[in-house]
Amino acid sequence: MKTENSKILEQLGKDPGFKVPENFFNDFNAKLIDSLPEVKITEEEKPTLWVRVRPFIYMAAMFAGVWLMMNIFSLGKSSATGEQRAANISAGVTVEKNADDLIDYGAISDYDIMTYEDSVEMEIANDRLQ
Amino acid sequence: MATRVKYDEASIIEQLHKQETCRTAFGRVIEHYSEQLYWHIRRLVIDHDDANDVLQNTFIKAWTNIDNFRGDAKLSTWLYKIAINESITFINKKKVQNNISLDEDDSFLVNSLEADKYFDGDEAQVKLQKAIATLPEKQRLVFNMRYYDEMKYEEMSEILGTSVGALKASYHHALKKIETFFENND
Repeated sequence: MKTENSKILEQLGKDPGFKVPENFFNDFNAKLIDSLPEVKITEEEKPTLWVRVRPFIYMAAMFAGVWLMMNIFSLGKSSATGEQRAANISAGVTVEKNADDLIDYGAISDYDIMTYEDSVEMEIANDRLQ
Repeated sequence: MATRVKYDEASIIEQLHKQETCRTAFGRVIEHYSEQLYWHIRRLVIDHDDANDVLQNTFIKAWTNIDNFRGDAKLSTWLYKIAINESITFINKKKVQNNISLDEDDSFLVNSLEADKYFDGDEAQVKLQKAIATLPEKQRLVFNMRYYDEMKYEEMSEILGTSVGALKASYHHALKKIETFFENND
């Protein structure tokens, strides 16, 4: 502070010369406290345990719901496949149908088919020769 | 012998927000802040009786608005803000009563200072009060808070809503103007 103040202020000091009546602050405080009007305070309600944990429970319920739906969906899908399989068997789906499916869904390449056909032809030729 | 309980602002603020404890807590606030707020107001309004009225209005206003004080700012910052607003409102009312333009400085407040029974300063101190009263409102506030209250610029910044840099500049300008006043009135 010393460096930022001017010489004049340093000479004058910090007492401005103001005074108050004797015991002023004690009297003022007591009088004012007695004369304070009534006020209504809106007290902040403390949140209950339920209010505090509610968001977490909602979130957990949401995740559980999603998990349950996913499970039901995949179970439904797998059981449909099982039923389909049973139906196929009972309908007497041939080995050719399954082979066609494999070809259609790309599990067997053209080369595999050609190799298979060659081996079958070779077997038939061998059978005939015998 | 009654023991004096230590003033703990956090606990006082908590008590201020409860209906059954708020009055006692505010009593503690009055006891804690009345003197420092009085001197701050007195340096603005100069006269003791006026400072007494403004201080009373400050606390009444704070009390009636206590429900709006959420404790985001320091209690002292909030009270200083109210005290400054009340002081400025009071000075402006006094200007209107004395047919003085609101644009004029506050030097009229110092005119009767020497006759005030609650002033025992010498001629140089009267001169300093006159010099301070000629300052623009903001510079006057900054000067009083920095020079007499030795308040930190950061705290002043919160109360006055002005940047620290601007406050430093205001204080510097105030000092220059006071020096010039003394040079011109030798």
